[in-house]
Amino acid sequence: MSSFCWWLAGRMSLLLPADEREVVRGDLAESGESGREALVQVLGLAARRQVAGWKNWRPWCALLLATGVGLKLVRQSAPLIHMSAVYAWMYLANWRMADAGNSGFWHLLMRESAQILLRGLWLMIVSMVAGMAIGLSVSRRSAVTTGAVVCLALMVANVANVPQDPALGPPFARALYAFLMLAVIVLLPAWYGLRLSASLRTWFGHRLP
Amino acid sequence: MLGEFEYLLLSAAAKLGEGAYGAAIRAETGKATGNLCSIGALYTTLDRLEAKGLIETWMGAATAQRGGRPKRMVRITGEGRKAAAGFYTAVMRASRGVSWETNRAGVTP
Repeated sequence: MSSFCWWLAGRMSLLLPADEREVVRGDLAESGESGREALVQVLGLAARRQVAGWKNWRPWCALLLATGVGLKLVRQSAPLIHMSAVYAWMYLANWRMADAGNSGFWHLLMRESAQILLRGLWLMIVSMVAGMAIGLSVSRRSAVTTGAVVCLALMVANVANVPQDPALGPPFARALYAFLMLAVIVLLPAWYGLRLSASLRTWFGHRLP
Repeated sequence: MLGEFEYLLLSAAAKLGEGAYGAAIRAETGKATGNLCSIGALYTTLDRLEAKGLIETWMGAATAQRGGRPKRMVRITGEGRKAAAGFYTAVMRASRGVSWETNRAGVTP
């Protein structure tokens, strides 16, 4: 149990800035704390650091903005998730060899796939830019919390996007499909944007907030 | 005006002198109060004291006892000494004549 707590404390210390992390790990090793106590100490410091980051208006403003933009993106992705589910079902579940020789079949497949891909790409770009804007407007520590909170909110909001038609598959598969699509279209690009903002920050020499 | 915990950290750092760093200050305040403070309270207060210009901190050398990890060394500035002395004087003045001061063991009223 103690070694697991020490391992967990080490993982949790990743929430702290690199230089402080090493100092705290050293202090805990020197003072001979138990694993459980070390975990409590690390979590306490990480929580205090998080709270300190939320004492000005910036992260609150970013959280509000990110939630608003995120919910809009979830709503925008609803028709795409539904349309792609219908076409996936149409082409994968109802595939007949005879269709392969039909030029109309291929024409429709190309047209619909291109439409879905273009819409998806547009939403991915918007999500990435939104993630980058949030990452640049708040501190690195607040950006991670904001990202996690917004991700959770969007996952909950995405329940409304689960295709309802039973013909498209069992409920679990439909829900999984909707969440995978949300992850690919919105969450992963936004997370990439957030990470990109961290690189930009380093590039600009931490002159950003 | 300092807070009491800020004063405790300044006193511990002053007592430890060149050997003042996070874990040592924590142990020293623990000896004085009977309770080890949390690492969160220690480092956020050290940050605050540094922001006020009452202490200076820097990364010290790593030791084997700490698993090869560095220390956050602490030194009190002139301003820090002045602030701590001011706090001590204020507490001594405020305590003059109060029951817990006059009834202290070994002190005749």
